Amino acid sequence: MAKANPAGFAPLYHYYFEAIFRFVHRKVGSMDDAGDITSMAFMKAIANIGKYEDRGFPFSSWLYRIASNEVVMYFRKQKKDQVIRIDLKKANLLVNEIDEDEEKEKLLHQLTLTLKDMPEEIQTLIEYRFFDLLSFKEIGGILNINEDAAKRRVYRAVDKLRQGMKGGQA
Amino acid sequence: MKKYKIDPKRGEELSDKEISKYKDFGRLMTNYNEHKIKMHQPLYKKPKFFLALLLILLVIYLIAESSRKQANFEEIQPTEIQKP
Repeated sequence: MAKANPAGFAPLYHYYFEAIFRFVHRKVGSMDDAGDITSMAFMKAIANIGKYEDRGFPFSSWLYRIASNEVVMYFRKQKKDQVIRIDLKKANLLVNEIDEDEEKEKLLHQLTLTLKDMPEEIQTLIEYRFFDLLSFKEIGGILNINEDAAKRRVYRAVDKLRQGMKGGQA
Repeated sequence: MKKYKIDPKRGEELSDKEISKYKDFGRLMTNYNEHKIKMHQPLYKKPKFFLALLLILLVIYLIAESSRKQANFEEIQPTEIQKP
C-alpha cells in the first residue's frame, strides 16, 4: 500500500519513528538535529519505497541504513568530529564481552581510547551491536549480508578491539 | 573522526513523550511533496540552471568572437608586409 501511495506510509512511520529517532540521537546528540535527520531519512524512505525489496531482513534494517547514511552526510557537512556518548550499562556490556576478569574501570578507560583508533568498519559494527542494541538480523540487513555473516563480522570486530586493548595495555 | 565518551550520568533512553514532539506525519508529507515538486521541476525552470546556461553561452560567444577577430587580423597582416 505504501508503495502505491506515499500517504500509506503512515503506519510504518508511526511504528518505526521512535526507534529511528533514538538511533540517530545516539549518534548526533542533539534533539533538534536528530529530528531533522530522522525526518529526512523518512522522506527518503517514502521516495524510495518503490525500490524496496523484501529479502527476509526486518524492514527496520532498511530504515536504519537510510538513517545511517543521513548521519554520515550530516557530519560530512558539519565538518566536525562525531562524539558518541555511551551509557555505562552498554559500555559494561561490551567490556564483559571483551574480558570478564580484568578490572572494569581500567577496561572502560581503555575501551574509549582504543575504539576511536579502530577502523571505521569495526567502530560501526560495535556501535550497531552494543550501543544501538540491534539484532544480528538487523545488522545483516543494513550491511546486506546474512545473519550468520553479520554475527561473524561482529565477533571478529570484538576480537580486533580486544587485541587493540591488550596492545594498549602493554 | 569519531570520539567515544562513557557518560555515567547518561540514564535511560529518551522517553516516547520527548520524541513525540518531533513526530508529525502531516508535516513530513508536506515537506515530501514540496521536495518532490522541486525534484521534478524541469532543469530550464530552475533559476540557477538558467543563469549557468546563460553564462556558458556568453563564454562561447566571447571565445567565438575573439577567434573571429584573430582570424581577420591574420588575414590582413601579410598585405602590410608586402613591399610597394
